[in-house]
Amino acid sequence: MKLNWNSLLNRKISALLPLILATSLTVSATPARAEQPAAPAGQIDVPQLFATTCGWCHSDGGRAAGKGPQLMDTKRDDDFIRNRIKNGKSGAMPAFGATFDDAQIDEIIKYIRALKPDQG
Amino acid sequence: MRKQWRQSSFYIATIAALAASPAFAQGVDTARIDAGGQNDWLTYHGSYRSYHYSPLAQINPGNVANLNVAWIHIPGRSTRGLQSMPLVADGVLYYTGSYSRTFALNGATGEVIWSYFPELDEGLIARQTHSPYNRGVAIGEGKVYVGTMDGRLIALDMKTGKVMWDTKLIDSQKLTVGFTGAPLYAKGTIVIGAQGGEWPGRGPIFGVDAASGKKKWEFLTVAGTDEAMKTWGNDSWRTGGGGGWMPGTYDSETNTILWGTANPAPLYDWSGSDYKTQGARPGDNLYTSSVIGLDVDSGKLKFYHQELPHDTWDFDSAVGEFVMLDRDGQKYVVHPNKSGYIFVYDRNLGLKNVWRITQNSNFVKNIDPKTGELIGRRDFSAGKVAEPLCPHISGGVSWNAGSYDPKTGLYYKLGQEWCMTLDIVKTTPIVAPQAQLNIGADFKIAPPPGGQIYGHLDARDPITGAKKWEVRFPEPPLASVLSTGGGLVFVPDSRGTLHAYDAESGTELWNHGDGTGHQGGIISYGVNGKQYIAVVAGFGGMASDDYAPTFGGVYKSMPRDDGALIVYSLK
Repeated sequence: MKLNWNSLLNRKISALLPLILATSLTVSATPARAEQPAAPAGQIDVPQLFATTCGWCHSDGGRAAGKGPQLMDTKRDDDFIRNRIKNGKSGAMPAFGATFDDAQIDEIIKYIRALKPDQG
Repeated sequence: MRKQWRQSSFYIATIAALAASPAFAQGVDTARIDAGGQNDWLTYHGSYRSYHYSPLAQINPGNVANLNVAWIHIPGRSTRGLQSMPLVADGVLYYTGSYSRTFALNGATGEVIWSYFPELDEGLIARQTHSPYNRGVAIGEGKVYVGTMDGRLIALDMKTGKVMWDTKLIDSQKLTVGFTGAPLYAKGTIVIGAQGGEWPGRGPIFGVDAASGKKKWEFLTVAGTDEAMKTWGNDSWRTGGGGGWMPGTYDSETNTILWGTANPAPLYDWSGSDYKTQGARPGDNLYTSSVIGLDVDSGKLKFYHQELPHDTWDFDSAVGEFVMLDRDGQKYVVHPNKSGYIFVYDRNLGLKNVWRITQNSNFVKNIDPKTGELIGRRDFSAGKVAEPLCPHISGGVSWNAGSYDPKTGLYYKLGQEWCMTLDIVKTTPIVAPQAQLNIGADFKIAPPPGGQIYGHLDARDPITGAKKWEVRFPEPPLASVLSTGGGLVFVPDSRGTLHAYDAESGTELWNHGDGTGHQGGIISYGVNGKQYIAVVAGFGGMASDDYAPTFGGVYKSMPRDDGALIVYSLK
């Protein structure tokens, strides 16, 4: 089965996800804004997103430095992170501004802020 | 005594004289590449035999101490460093930088003859992960061929750099992937494989008419035949990954393109041991993580061997080396894959032997050297994987090439010792609005059990794997290896030092700093009777980006947007 962003992002957080993060990432659906890219609105499964795409560079779900920086305990403010997700960094990070709307990026930021050391 | 003739000064002078002839300069064809050249480097792997070996012997153990920089070229805009394998024909060096910047340089002086910077879809490239590096060109029929990250194959006039044709092959806006690997010229056809692996596509390999730029054929590495379609359960072939992102070679005796294919997507499956019926992509997933033989004219599959059925470790077979050598009347092909296992075949890809170059490997207990069966394979279920997986996702060997020296009979190949933690997570392929990576896990680099990460240069028998000597490096070198008729083996390491070793003993004879890490090609060629060593330096990319956080030290300040072509000769 193949899905588009809509179907991924509208999926409910699965039982596989760490409980500590699940509560912080369950947010209400947000209508798409007209001025924003044609990205889907709604609940975003950020842990799955990291295991799908982001984790190639942000190791261990963002808990450790890898090709990209460690995101857990980052000192960067929300505006910096939002801008980096939207516009990327040449040669280092792809731009996802055409993929996520502001509400979805906010969910990613929430996930990053909630990251804790892996207890497993 | 063809060999003696080729090593004579008269031969060199003859070639130099011929180099001035435009007719000769346009005379790169299949026969010439097949024969290999004393002074040239006509295809990515040196010649179709893929030795990454130069017969030139002017530089040797007795004088290598006098090796010095002859000239340097800066391509500019080297985002993620330089990964290109230069080519040389008739004294002219052709190579690429990031963004498919293409140069023709005077091989003796470095003077720019022409340059070509394609206009690319920069918005697309900004959304790509495995980008914008480029690994080189092909030459033939008076043209230079280069692929682009936005899915095109471009032919340039070899003398002027003028665009002869520009063919769009992939809808990169939708599929995200493009071309980073060098094309291969053979018998009037340009073959180039798409990126793939972790992207939810079907991993095409293309054959394009060298004269017109018209697409002749397309082979899908994911379910490209009816037989293969049956090896993808639940319609998983639609997003299967695959691809063939490094150039293979051409066997003129059988008119066959030999190519290695990439892994299936998602990289890591949660099937557990019943991978034939369970998980993200039930079945063997043909023709991913395989070596395939395609008819050069039609692209029709002639034979194949799937090295890793249902690869669930991202240890694809896309490494492009197919070392063709003869021993005791038997014709062999030696092909490494990313797992660190080296496969030995006959020319029809019938398996003859399998050996391993890495010390730390646990994705299988072994691979049966007679049947190729993966014995004791580790198939994961969702959740944390208890024991780290070895090798690391960057592989037991790099996509860069080793070198076979027909004089010593040894295969010089780099091995990489590293592992990774894994937490397998069920994912769903994302194909709209633009395809995204499909990993299937969170992971982190880890040292081998009870030890440290390291790399090693091995001198081995290519058929049996018997080791003659080994040199260790504190961090895995990622670049290609070069051996020469002068009895030398050159290794460009990750810290930025180029080493020369005695081919028989492994004794280091010379080294020189290139200012930044290596992760690309190295060749040797001759112009006007003088031997040159050309190496690209410039760090950054999918493997090397891990070095600063993992090793610190010199990597912390090493740029990932810089690079140079550095050319050496004797003083």
